[in-house]
Amino acid sequence: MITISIAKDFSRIPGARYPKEGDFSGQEFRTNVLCPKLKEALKNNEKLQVILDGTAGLGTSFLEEAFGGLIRHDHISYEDICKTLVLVSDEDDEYIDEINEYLTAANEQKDNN
Amino acid sequence: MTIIDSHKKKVLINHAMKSMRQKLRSKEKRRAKRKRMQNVSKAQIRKQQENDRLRFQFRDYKHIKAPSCLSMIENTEGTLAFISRLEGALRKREKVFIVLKHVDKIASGAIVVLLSIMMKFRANQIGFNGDYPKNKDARQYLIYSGFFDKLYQQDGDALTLKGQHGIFTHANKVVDSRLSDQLITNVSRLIWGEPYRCPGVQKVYIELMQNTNNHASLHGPNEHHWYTTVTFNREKKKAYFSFIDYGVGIIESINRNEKGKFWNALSKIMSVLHPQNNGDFLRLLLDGSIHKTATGEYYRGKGLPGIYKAFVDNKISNLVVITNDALADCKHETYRTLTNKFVGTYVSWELDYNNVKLPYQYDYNFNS
Repeated sequence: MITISIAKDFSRIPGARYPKEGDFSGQEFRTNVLCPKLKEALKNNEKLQVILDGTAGLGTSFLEEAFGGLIRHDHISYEDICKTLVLVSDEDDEYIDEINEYLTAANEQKDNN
Repeated sequence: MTIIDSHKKKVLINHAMKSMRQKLRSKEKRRAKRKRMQNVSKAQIRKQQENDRLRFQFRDYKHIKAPSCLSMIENTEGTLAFISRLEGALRKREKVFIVLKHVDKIASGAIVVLLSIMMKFRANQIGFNGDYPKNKDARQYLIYSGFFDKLYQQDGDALTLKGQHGIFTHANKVVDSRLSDQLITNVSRLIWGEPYRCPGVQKVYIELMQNTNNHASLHGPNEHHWYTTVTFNREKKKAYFSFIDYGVGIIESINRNEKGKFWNALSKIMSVLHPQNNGDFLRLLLDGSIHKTATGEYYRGKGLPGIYKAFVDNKISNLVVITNDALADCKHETYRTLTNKFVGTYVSWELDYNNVKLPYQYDYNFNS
């Protein structure tokens, strides 16, 4: 299993959606950390564990762009993401529900388009 | 012997009479002044002279009197009326002198209101000045905030006011998660004795900053500044956060932004939820009802409901939102429409000993 931590491997203070809106954006996290590791996990048929704990706090735009963007921009299938991604949050399990909502919504929007 | 003609003689007589009249007037003035100053202490005289000096120095400024209680929470209507008068002067490009001498109370959010207004005048290169409150506490609060020192540092769009005694004021246009984290670290030390994480407060800041960056203007992102002030009450061990942006305001943004997420769903929102007034509309926005009913872009609507949820989950306390003509006082469950309209969004909340906190998980250099 591959493990990444937002706080350790990206930033303890994640910020907005896009880099133009401020530092440590969801797009940066997805492009530089999450997507490469997810592709590596898919290639090796491994699980990717993403630890959400340890940050100062996570904004909704950051989470949506980081995870919803996997489907919208990186064109990774919803099924591949679901079978590979393992979300961990001992501090606030609502983050997991929130991310699952974003993935479902991004998938629905892709199907509608 | 010099012989003068009758015309010159007349001129000289007129001049002498005028001079006499002026002397008599001056004498009268001095006498009246002496009479006025009887039983008046030297300190009072000095104050009067200072007032006269200010009136003379700023004689071409429009003098706008602040309410005696300058507080967005305790005197919402009075403070909004004051802001409205300042906004009117700004629109007419009139130089303004804010009269604060009679102000008895300045609440924590007032600094951010005054600062943001001052910055608007400065951005438009219009004169803006004011006096100090006579009330000791109110005066000290303004002095400690650094408002009148003008010793702020400006780094591009970012602005920091050098406050003292636990008053921090900042402004920017982008989402600055580093700043909010530093503010939280500072106040958590004061509240709990050591630094803690407060993800609820961080989330509130990120949502508000993002909202200002994305939605405060109908013309495009990154147009408006946001301003925030944090103050701390050592006796109550409580931090007071205020956040303001002078965008179009949340309700106006929804009603006027054709590219907005709720634009196409407005009629559906109205017919399904039947908001009674804008106060009620703000309640429905906060509790997520409008987001659920709308069919706009699905992923962008969680800002206000996310902030409200942080309040419900005890991550913050005493959440108040004022935008356009709507007020939401979440603690007292008061949602009402205001007489005086506020062009923008004002949000305040508190953090105290009983709110949710989390320990730091990793080694972190707090001085970096």
